[in-house]
Amino acid sequence: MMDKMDENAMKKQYELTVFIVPIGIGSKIVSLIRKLNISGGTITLAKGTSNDKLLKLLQLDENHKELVFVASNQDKSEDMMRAASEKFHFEKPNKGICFSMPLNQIYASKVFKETKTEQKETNTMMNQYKAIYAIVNLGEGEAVVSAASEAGAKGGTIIHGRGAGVHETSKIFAIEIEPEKEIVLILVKESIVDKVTQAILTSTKIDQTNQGIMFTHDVSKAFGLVE
Amino acid sequence: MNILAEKFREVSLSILPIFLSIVFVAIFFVDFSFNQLVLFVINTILLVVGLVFFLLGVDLGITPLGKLLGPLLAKFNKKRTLVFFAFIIGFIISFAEPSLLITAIQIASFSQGSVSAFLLVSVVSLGIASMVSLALIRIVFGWSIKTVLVVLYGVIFILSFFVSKQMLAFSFDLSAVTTGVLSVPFLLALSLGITSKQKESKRSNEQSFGLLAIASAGAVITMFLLDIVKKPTFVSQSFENIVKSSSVIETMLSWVGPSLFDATVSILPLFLMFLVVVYVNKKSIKRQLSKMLFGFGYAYIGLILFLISVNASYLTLGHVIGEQLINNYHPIIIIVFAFILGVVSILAEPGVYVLTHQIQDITAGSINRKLVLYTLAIGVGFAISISMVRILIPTLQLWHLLLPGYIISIGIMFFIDPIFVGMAFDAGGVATGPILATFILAFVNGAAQNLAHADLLIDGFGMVAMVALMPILSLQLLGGIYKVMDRRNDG
Repeated sequence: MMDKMDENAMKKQYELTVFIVPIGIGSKIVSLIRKLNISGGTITLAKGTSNDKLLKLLQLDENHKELVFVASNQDKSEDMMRAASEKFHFEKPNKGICFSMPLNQIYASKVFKETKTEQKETNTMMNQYKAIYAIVNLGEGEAVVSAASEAGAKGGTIIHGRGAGVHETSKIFAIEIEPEKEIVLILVKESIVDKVTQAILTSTKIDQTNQGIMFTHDVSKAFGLVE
Repeated sequence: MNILAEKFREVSLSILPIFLSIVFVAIFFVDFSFNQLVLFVINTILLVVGLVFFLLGVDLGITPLGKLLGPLLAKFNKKRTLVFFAFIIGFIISFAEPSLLITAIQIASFSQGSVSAFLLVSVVSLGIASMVSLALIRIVFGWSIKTVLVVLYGVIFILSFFVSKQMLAFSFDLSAVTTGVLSVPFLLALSLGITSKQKESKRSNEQSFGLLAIASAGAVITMFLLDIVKKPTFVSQSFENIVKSSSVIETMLSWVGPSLFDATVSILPLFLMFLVVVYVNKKSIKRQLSKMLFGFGYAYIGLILFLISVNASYLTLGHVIGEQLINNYHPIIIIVFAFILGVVSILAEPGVYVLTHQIQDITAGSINRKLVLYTLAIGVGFAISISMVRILIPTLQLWHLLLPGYIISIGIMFFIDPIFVGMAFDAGGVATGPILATFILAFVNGAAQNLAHADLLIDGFGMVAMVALMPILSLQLLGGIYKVMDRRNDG
């Protein structure tokens, strides 16, 4: 009886894993984690800089990166970080880094049941914030932001990315097609986080379409949010 | 991996196929002189170095310029002002394109003085300029790319009944060469700069491509009008023999001057625009300034090296390969090689590199760069093969292929996503870059010169028109496949 409850508690612990890798590796990370039975991830293009003095002098100190966001449960997160760092040699410099952070809630159909890690209500200070990430199809980001705003959020940031869930993969001549996505990042007060996520769910139907995912996590400090 | 190593790796990989195919041809099929081989090796190294510099320069200087200029133009509240500046920019960019001038001089020499090169360049630039305005207006008003292309190609179709056979080939050819190495990245970035300011992400993605396509169509229309108004006559004559036998050093040095001139002429207008943008944006540009200056420097050096290498070696090689294959082997062999050389040379085109990278950036990597690249390359391979077939079978005329080709292209358009339409028609203009204009054109001419019945005038130029057409078909087919896949996912 005790064991079973422990197991349930373990299963409900979800994490967001982020990989930062050289351009071109992102899709390889996603196909690697698919082998570990994780439904998929979202990739965005990014830029980094190099510290080489000569390259700086020649104004060539820029390099191109990809970020991969993957939500999964805790033990799988560790599995895939281990597998990726082994396969892509993260121990060497400039090959890539990865890290994970705990999530509070995940909304997506089939793959994850809606989960709610019980948050101990010790900290009832009203200026506690949470971050909401909603990953939706290209063009739906605007709708997410306006739904969130109506529910009391102050705005949102849309990041252009690509990626696919488990039901969305197809191939052309062995090259995998990853549909375009938008990642919407919204910071809200803890008191309205449920209201905002519900509003986003009703407007985008993330939990029904198999083409999106949403998760929230704690934010310890936030500046610049004008009330 | 830093940007320098990344570029070097990518450029080497894109030059490797053309290098290996020429090595293969040299071992098994064609005898090159010792000098030609030495030049080939030296210039291939030069080509890689030149392309690395040029593409770095595009990334650091040319593309940022377009992206800065776009929003500046979009800021004009009066549409009339936007049209005016877009017209000026389009005209200057086209007028300063060295390959346009070279082709115009060639065509003028066939015309027995009935048209001058200056007139041709002006007419083409006029067409490009008015269509750049139209393309920007389209983005601002959000007109669909499909509608605009249907109207433009409808006009081309109707006018084509009134123009001569030669003019048909020349018009498509001139419009294709105007979209040169520097204007392609600049114009792509310009339209990106304007669309990035739009709020709806889906629409702005779709609007990002198509500027080049619309601009090229404009040049065809104005050339057709010129033909209808002036009715110039053209007489076929053979090209001067380009295979000169001189020492390695002499050959290299003889190309330094012209390359320097071409590179300077084509980068100058962009640099002037850069100065204007710096002047207008004095404050906000400060951090980017040195990066962009370095970018212009890299692009300039790279372009000079690139032009020297292509002209000093690849031009001659193309001619020799074409000549010897047609003289010594079965026609099937040359058709097969036409395909292979078409594929490998397009992989080395700088404009294609820039376009495919921009597709990757705009779609966040969702439309795979390599997939687009290979589809494009296969399209061009078929274009060169078909051109060879056409040279071998004189009864097969250019318009027998162009007409159905464009009708099919316009037809497919309605079944696929607008982003693929813009991309495909843009790729048509981009594919006809400097490597095609030297290496492949010389290859086709080398073969045509040794056939009694071939008409050099129409055959050489018709090839370019085919190359502009085939990628439109192949990329639109790719768009169709994407669409089918998409539907399967939804269902």
